[in-house]
Amino acid sequence: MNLLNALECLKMPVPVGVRPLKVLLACGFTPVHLETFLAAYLSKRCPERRVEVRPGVFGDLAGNIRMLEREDYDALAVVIEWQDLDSRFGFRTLGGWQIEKLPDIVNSAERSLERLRNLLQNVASSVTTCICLPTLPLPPLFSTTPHQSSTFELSLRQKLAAFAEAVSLNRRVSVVNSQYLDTVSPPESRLNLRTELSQGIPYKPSHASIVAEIMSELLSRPVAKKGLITDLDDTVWSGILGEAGVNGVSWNLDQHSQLHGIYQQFLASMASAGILIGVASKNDSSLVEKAFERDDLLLSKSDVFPIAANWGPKSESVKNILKKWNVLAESVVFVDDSPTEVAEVQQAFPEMECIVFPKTDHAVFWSLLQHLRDAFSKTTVSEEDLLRLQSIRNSAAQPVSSAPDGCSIDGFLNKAEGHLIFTSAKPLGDNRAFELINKTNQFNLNGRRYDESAWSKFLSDPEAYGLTVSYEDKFGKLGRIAVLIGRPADKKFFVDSWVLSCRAFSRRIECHMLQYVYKKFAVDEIVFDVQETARNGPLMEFLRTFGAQSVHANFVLPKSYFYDRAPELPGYSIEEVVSGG
Amino acid sequence: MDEDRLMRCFTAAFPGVDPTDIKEAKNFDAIPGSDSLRLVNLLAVLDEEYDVEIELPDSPDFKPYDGVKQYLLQHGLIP
Amino acid sequence: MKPGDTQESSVSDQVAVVFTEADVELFSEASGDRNPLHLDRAYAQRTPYGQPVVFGCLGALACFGQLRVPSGMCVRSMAADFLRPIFSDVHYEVKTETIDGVWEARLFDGSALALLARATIGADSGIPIRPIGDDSGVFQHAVANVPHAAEIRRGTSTSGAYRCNGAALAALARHWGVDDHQIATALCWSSYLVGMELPGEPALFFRLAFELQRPATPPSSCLRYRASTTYAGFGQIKIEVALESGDSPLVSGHCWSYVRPPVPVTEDADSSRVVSASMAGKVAVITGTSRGLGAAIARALEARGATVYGISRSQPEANSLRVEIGDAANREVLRLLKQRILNEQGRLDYLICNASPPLLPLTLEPNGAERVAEFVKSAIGLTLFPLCEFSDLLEIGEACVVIISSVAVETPVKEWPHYVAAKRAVEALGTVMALQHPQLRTVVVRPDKLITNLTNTPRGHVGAESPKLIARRIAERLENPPPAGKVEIQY
Repeated sequence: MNLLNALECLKMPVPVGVRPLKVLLACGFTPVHLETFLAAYLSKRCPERRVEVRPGVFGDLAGNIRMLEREDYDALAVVIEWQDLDSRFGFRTLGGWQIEKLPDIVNSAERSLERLRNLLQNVASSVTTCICLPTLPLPPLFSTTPHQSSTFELSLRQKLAAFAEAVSLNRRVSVVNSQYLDTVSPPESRLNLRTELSQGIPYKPSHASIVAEIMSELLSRPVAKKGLITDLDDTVWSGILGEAGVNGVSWNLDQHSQLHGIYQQFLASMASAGILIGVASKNDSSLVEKAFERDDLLLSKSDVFPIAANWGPKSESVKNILKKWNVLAESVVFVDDSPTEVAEVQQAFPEMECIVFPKTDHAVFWSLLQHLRDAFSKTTVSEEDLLRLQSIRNSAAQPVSSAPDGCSIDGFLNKAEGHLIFTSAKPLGDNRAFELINKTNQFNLNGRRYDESAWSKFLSDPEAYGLTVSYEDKFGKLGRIAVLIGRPADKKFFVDSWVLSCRAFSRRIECHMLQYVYKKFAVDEIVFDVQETARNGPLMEFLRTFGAQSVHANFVLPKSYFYDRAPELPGYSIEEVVSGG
Repeated sequence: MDEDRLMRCFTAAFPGVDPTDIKEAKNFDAIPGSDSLRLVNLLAVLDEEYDVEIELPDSPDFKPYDGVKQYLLQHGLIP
Repeated sequence: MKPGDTQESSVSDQVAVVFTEADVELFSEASGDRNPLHLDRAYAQRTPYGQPVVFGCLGALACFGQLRVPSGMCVRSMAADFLRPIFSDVHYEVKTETIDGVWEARLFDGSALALLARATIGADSGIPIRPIGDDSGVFQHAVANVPHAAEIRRGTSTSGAYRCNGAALAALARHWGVDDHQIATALCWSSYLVGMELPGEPALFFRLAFELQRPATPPSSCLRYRASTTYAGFGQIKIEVALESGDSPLVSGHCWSYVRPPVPVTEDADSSRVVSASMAGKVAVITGTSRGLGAAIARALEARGATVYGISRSQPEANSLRVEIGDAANREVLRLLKQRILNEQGRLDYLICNASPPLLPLTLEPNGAERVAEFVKSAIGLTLFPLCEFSDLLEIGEACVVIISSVAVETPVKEWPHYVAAKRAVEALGTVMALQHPQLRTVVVRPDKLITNLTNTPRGHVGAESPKLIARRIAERLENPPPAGKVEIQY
């Protein structure tokens, strides 16, 4: 986006009544164009919000960060330049480039970084923060040729890296990747010395645009995709399995098929982070089974579920995989080397991202890996992420909806040796609850999403109550699968948000949760802030089972109705954990 | 000449201002809402669009739109 | 604590603080800062604040008065952020705490943070400053500097001699419990420097950060200072400052301030699209015509031949014989104006209810409740009373009522609960007026942010529109007014 487009973007009218997105832009230089670009990019990414970017004053980065104490902001964008660490790195202040001053300059920079680190930890610990480390070239302070890194420069960069590592430990903080920035904004095209000297604006507009774009992406990350479905022939491996045989397909340097090995390794890495990997291949299933027994396959069978190897249409295989995963098409990426297959699946699932595997184009392959990493990116990997695949396998192996041996569903559930852990915590400190609220669609009371700031605010409310539920049975662990937040008042409990992971359906966990709330707060009624959405049919259906003709906003469920109409609850063992808030 | 492109630069830098007001302004201060920020934006946008660093004369009689247009014409930046 | 002890983190109780006009006067006397924003009620009424603002450094002084420095120690550095304007007769609270050796005080207006002060403490190895006993201060300027635009630039500098009024300083320090006169001197001097010299009258002091040094010898009776602008741009200046006693530095550091841009004198009427004499013979009353949108509407209607009468609390920017000076909610002022119109014109065609009280952010909490109520009452009155007083005149002929509202009624601003409530209320008055007087034509105008004195704050101009453009749209609508009995919304 160039400056003209950014300014025009900011002229576009914002829908009436939208919530503001207030971002504090903390930097030590004149942020004129950076502020414009950041507001424009955020406006495009969040069209449902009214974006307000507030800058601070010139020449006081730390003081500008402290403006977080002045009023509430939804996000903080920190842009550090060298002169913020020591003014002798800048061009507007003169008198300090003597070689003998270098140790002092480096030490001063280290102290500044230490102060910044403490400030960010104290002031910005609960705000979504993005930090851009210095992007401008260092002035020619050092005695070495520009082609050589001097010891002082390396020491400086080491301290900067240590600072970045320390601040990145806070899961709310993201640090702009300098390597990525180098690829999209050439270092020689960043500094505008003329405007830096005349107005304190050091960035060329093109560089300001790129920095703002990256920061806007990090401040408003879309929900990550959940699963990837891949073809096998000429995708996971080079060659056609049915023709070349199990030992004929390859993924190595000698046979010029290393790209496929790298792809396997990448998929395995994604699987280890809890991303679902499925296979849709037109192949003989027994042959595929044998191929997956190869010792040198980097993607093991345990990383993948399900493997749909058959001769039917790919779109049917994809459909069955989505059903087994219980995941929507828009949360999945499909990769296949055949443009025809890709087109067929795309037509069947317009909302799914379908990509042709670039088996011969190395540059496009590299871009594909970057893109997939971006699409599936997560700041942290939770225990539930790691359990996800196994729990889906277990669910597929033991379908709860059809009880074995002619037993009723109740009997089946009673024999499942289910164990529920109710954890009450005020506030809910872990990321999993936040993730569940924002990712769950089907059993979701109202579809309400929370950004980090709104989540923190809500849960720092002393009246708020939060409940997470973990489940395991003899078939395996599901981990934390439900979250309920609300508040008790006047012999009632008001539920603001309630989600249940689809993996936990049909286990009557939702009924157990309501029973828990009635008992714990000794209330006569639970009031639900319910709103029908395009996808929360399962939740609406559940509430309708309590005899209501229609379910409307502020739906009230009296205790008597619940106990009259709720099904018999399975005899799970229940453990209650009350955490501090 | 492509007046639309030039006017687009001005209206982007001075949002909400009628093009007529921009064309008729006797100097930059006469453009409604004119301030240093909007002036910097205008210069940066002109730099982007025409690849030119314009030095605006510090004269109260410099008509912004006509003056910039004349400058671009003289430097062959617009046909 | 003893020298050498490390400070632990601690939290103190909060202290209630109220600033009076006498406090402001005393600070002015001590510091030599006579910036009219703090002392001249008529001047302050024309600013976004609508009333005199308490010196930010006085607020900082009240905060530093809570700092207890152990003997053998002294303040080595001090900083303050002036985040919101503070006013007399408002209940504030100061909360202090020490975190990792840095002392902090926060001045709250309810839950809104108005001022943040910090200090670090170290061993005292010099001679403390004591106020000089006589009553005279040494101040280079008695009237605040009004800088030309060319002066607001990097490199502009100033220097001179300075001495606080010793008696006033001593009284000030005693009143606020500030033991260390070096702190009091630093605050007084910086307030004077920014408010009187650099940049002077249009200054909005935003932040200060100082290092304090104790002189090795007793400080001289008159100190010397120098200050130089190291950055000036986009409404901000940063100055590097130093206060010295002979060769000994006492205070050094930086001050940041915003420079209130000059609000353009009401622009000439836009004559390019005016249908000449389209409103000839028409008579209009506009409330709040001294400046801004009201003045712009007056010019737009006059350019079209209308005869315009105005009500304003202060003299308008441009001379006009047809202005009643007074409050638009004052029934006597309204009656006088109505009589005058009856005598001179015998008719009224347009009533434009534009007047509104100055707008400052408030929160819906105990500390702000009275001010919210006062604003709402005042704002409603400024529309209600003119509507009622002129209702009979408006019934003659096809009169049109214009209610100046705001887009904030659709997109409420979190800090303006009073404004949103008031504008919704005045819109409701216009709507019911149309029901009670079905022959009237009613236009409710909801402009977005305007460039006026009321938005002349550091970021107030960002995204603001020129009143001239809104006024032109209103005038063009009045040339072809909507049908009777209907309420039209215009943006």
